[in-house]
Amino acid sequence: MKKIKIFTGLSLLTFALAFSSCLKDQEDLFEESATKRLTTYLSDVQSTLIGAEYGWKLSYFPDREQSYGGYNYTLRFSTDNVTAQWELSDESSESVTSTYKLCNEDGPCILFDTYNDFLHYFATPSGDSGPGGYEAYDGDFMFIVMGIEDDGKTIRLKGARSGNEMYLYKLEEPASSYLDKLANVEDTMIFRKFNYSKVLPVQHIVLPDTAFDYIDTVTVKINVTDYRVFDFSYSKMEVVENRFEAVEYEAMASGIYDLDGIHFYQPVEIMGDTFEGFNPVCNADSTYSVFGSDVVWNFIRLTPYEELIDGEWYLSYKNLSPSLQADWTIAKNEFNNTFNSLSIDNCIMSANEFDVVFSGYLTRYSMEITKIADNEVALEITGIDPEDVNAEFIEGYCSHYRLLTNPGNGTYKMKALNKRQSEMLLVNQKDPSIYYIISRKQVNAF
Amino acid sequence: MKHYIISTLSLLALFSFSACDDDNAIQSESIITVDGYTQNAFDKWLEKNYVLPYNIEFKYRYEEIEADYNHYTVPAGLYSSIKMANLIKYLCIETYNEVANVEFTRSYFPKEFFMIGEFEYQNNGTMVLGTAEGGRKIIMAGLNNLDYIMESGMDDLNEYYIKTIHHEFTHIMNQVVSYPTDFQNINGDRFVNDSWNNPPYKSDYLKRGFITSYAQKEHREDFAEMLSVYVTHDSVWWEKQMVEADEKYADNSKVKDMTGRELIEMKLKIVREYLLESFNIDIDDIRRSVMRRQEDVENGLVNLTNIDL
Repeated sequence: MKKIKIFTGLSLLTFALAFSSCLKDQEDLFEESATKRLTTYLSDVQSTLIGAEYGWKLSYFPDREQSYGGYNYTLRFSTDNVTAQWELSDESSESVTSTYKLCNEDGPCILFDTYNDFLHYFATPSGDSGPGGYEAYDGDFMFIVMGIEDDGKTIRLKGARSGNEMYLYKLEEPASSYLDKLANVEDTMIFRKFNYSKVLPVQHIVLPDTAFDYIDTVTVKINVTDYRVFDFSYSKMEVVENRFEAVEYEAMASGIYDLDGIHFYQPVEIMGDTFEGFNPVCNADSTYSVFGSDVVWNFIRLTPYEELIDGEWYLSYKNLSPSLQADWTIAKNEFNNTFNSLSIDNCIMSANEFDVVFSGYLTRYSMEITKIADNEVALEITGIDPEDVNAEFIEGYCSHYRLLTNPGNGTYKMKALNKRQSEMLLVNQKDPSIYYIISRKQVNAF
Repeated sequence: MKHYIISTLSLLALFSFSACDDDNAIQSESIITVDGYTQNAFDKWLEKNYVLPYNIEFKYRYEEIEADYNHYTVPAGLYSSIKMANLIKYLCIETYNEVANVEFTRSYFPKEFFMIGEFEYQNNGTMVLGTAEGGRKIIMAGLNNLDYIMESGMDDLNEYYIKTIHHEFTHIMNQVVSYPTDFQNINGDRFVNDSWNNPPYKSDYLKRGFITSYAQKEHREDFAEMLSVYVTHDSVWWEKQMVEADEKYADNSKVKDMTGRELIEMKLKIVREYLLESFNIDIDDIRRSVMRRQEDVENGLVNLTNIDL
């Protein structure tokens, strides 16, 4: 009986294997193996990349929240190398070449696999705190290829780290020519603050002890960071827990420049109006148009004083007057025994304080700004006790953090050096040989 | 019945081995993907100078799978990688060839180097200069700062890169042959884990018996710091540290009655004996070779951009 069971079992197993394996009649879903299909696909991607006469424009958004806005690169591919240019160069023709490869990581990928000063800028971490610190700007340098449009002019990408949707668009003209045009568009964006008002439909308000009709006129304030990230804020009257009160709202839209203006990563909806982008060219009636809506925005012109106290500014050694540079040189010689070098690597000023980084070490000053006129201020700079800011490294070396305090204090006249008012000259009224140029853009120390 | 069973098994075997012979068609085709980039001049130089003589893979192109997932990392630049490959070859690989032999280098030197462009910055303000994995792979960080750091001189080059290789290589040797437990007992109650970078441990570490601040982290790191710092600095520098260490540090440690110098020198004796007994290498031979080679680099006698075959 036992033998019959073994025989039956083995027969059934043989039968099952014979008829269930190698289903030769089953139609294959794909004609080729997965490996061969991937190889073919990556080869197609590479042929498409190399085949573009002028190369490609990459619309790039770092950070999974798109907090820093979008930036344009141009890329030209050869079999092994990629040559990148980008919109943040001083000269549009400036390029950096590095290697790339097509690979299979979570899908078909383009990986920029050796360092490129432009392409890896937003992905490069540092020892700084905040954005650009140990998490860099959360930028990508590996992109999953999501698809090539039928006309071969658009390649859809997804950042492997951020998950952001990005695109490669085939360039129809040389990269430098495109970037020059783009720079012209960016130059038209000279204001950072806008607003518009909207009259809302009549609301019938019912409260426990009263009822009435209310027409709310809401003013939406728009603050633009780096001329590309739009922060919307407004308050409108609403019934909240039986009280009729102002409720604050905020929204953000992250934009990237193109030849016709700024396009948002995602449309933003404010009180029923959908904004898809912004046209930085001023209308005849001094308003600005947006994409996707008939609403127009008004710009708010800031005085030099209002600019000075709004947001962050950068100062560098090369933007100090020669007399101030001389003070720094004395300090550098004085402290060379302690530090290998002493330089203003970076100085970030905000309304009431600024930090100076000396060769990687932070020093903090407080700064009292008193308005005298729209273009004139009194500055009083004081070194903050290092113990208050945990700047333990300068214990015993406190004099160097007072370098700015004596020459820096006084009354200054301010003058914007460009239309954006993103560079300002501050000249000491008592001693004009003392002046600073401060900038919205981080500048190299020397 | 036994016959049936054998027949059935034979039939089963027949199906097993003859099934799916269409696979032959797949096997005969190339499965090389476009991942396989064309070898450039540097790849060929690496083949000749790293792969063939030592079976060491020097990876300078970024691969996600090789990177440290705990940090934001970026690729190394090609130019910096060429310089680093020449530096490691001259200052480390050929040092061990000289003081031990090529077989020692082939057997114990890490089998893989992976270059990344920036240091691995951490959210506590510290940064990782390099890591060793499983006794075979060293991640070299911060390559894109190489030129800047070399301008500052050999001390910084050692601090940020070359000492790191000797340090990580020490860990690998320790994985092959453990060092005596006496080492960790010398000033074991003064290890402070991750607080090594915070006050008060950032200063006076010499007086507490540690050659660097980082050595206070744990005994493994202490051992690796002792060896790597010793071989990358000359006797004058070392003596200067010893003079500074020649004081007692007032704490509750069981060794509070000993000076830092006494503690460091006790540990150095163990490191010296470990190398000699386990690998037949004199630590002073390593130092002499490293010093001579460092001088050659400083004097521009080594072409660091050479990738000629």
